[in-house]
Amino acid sequence: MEVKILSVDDSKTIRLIISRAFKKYNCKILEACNGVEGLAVASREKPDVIILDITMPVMDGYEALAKIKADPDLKKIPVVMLTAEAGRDNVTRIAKMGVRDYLVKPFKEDLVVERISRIVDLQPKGQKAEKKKFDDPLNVNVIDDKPAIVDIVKGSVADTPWNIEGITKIGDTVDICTKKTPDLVLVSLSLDGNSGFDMFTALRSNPQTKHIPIFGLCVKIANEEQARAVEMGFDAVITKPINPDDLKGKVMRALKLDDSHLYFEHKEGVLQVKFPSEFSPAVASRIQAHLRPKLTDAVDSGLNMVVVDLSKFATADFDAIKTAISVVEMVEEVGLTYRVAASEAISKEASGIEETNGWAFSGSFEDAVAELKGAVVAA
Amino acid sequence: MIADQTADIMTEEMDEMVQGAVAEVFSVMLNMPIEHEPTGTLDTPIECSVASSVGFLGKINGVIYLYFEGKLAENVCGGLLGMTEDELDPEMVNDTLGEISNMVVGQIKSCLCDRGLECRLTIPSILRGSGLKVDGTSDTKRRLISFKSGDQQMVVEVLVKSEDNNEQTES
Repeated sequence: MEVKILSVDDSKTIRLIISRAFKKYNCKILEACNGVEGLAVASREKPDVIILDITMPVMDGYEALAKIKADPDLKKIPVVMLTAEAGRDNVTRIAKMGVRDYLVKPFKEDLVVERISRIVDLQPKGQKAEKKKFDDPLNVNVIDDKPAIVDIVKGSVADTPWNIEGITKIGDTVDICTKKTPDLVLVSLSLDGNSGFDMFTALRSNPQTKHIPIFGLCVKIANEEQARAVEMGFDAVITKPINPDDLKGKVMRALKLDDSHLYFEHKEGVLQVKFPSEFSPAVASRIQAHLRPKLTDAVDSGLNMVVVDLSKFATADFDAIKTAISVVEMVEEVGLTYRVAASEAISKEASGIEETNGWAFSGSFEDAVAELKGAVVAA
Repeated sequence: MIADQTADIMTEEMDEMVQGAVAEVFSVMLNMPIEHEPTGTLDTPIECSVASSVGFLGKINGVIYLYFEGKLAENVCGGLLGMTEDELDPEMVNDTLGEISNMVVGQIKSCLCDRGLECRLTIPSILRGSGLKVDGTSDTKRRLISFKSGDQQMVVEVLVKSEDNNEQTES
């Protein structure tokens, strides 16, 4: 959702600086050049936050603030005062008027963004763009002072197009992540002192990096670090030695990656359910998770034939067969016709199992498609 | 008592306040180096085409002018707004210099208030023209503090009404 920020300042320069500061975020910047105009814009637009200057012609910031607080429609809008006067009396006066925060000029643009991000949820632009897929070239930063660990992470996801960038100079982390926002950060919890946890806090405090999922990385027996990471709000903890499936599964969940295309495809007029040769409980759960919506999509788009494709297996993989049984059950429930593409060895094996002995087998996906279409023509 | 304070302030103490405020504003807003340039007794401000001023009224009354030499005004505006010389229009330059002087004088005002000399600031104004020179009246105390940024000069002139007048204002 776009955040509305109202900047009330008689100086065009300040309004321009404020506007520039929030350029990288999904924000609508509204402007007014004095208190009277500010109240009018606030009433009309109901901004999420108001940045209000004090010294202005026509109506100053004090009077405008008093009117905002007296208006039932506006009084809940948080106001951040912007003042060139940092004297004790001035600050005390501002604080007593019920402002959420105040900023003293001169100020850095980053500081305004940081303060406003404490009040509203600023989303960097482009972050909510097209949903990423599992095999997109994701950028993952690994923060660990040992290059060997970075290499291990690279090795764990070598079968993906993900770009793994190691950050071994820990102090550079926030800078690097701000310049090129990664999709995910993996930070070692065993860095000297509290560095790993401090880095988490630093990334979470920066509006530009606060939305990046952060995983902790530690050895299995480091129970204390794992508990602390969970308590602090790390998105996941990966233990060493790294289980590639565990890592990929957690990345997928954290980034809500769409991996359905790995297992489901509309091809040659049928819905192909693809069982990869490296089958695991994680794969089974992904197929199950996508099954119903994919079947619904198929029906909605006029497809009424399904090929359950086990052709990647030379011999029976019982975990895969078990998953295929549940796929076939749901296909039958929806009322679609299907064939199972599998090797002769598998079809023989299946004929001896109660749940699968009624399946119609084909030797390959192409044969299954031809036979399904032939059956339709014959009918 | 206020009369004494005003007299005390219009010494090196005021120079230090101005130096601190200018350094802070140039460093935070402009990331631009600026150095105080000891000039001994500077009699007159520099030749300039643009000056910005902000007044202060209350237990101490006066006005502070910022005189910008040649290209410095444009450099300051361009630096603050991220614009090139060609993109800057006079209105933008006026607004930016007004804001810079507001920030500088705001910092000085805070120092004055912390010393018990509460005052309010006026809205900034801009003077344009060649060979600008502001003369204070005879009952005005004056400090001139000079700065250099690269080869360009900026001078801050502080004019404060003498203590007798300030006392009248307070009475």
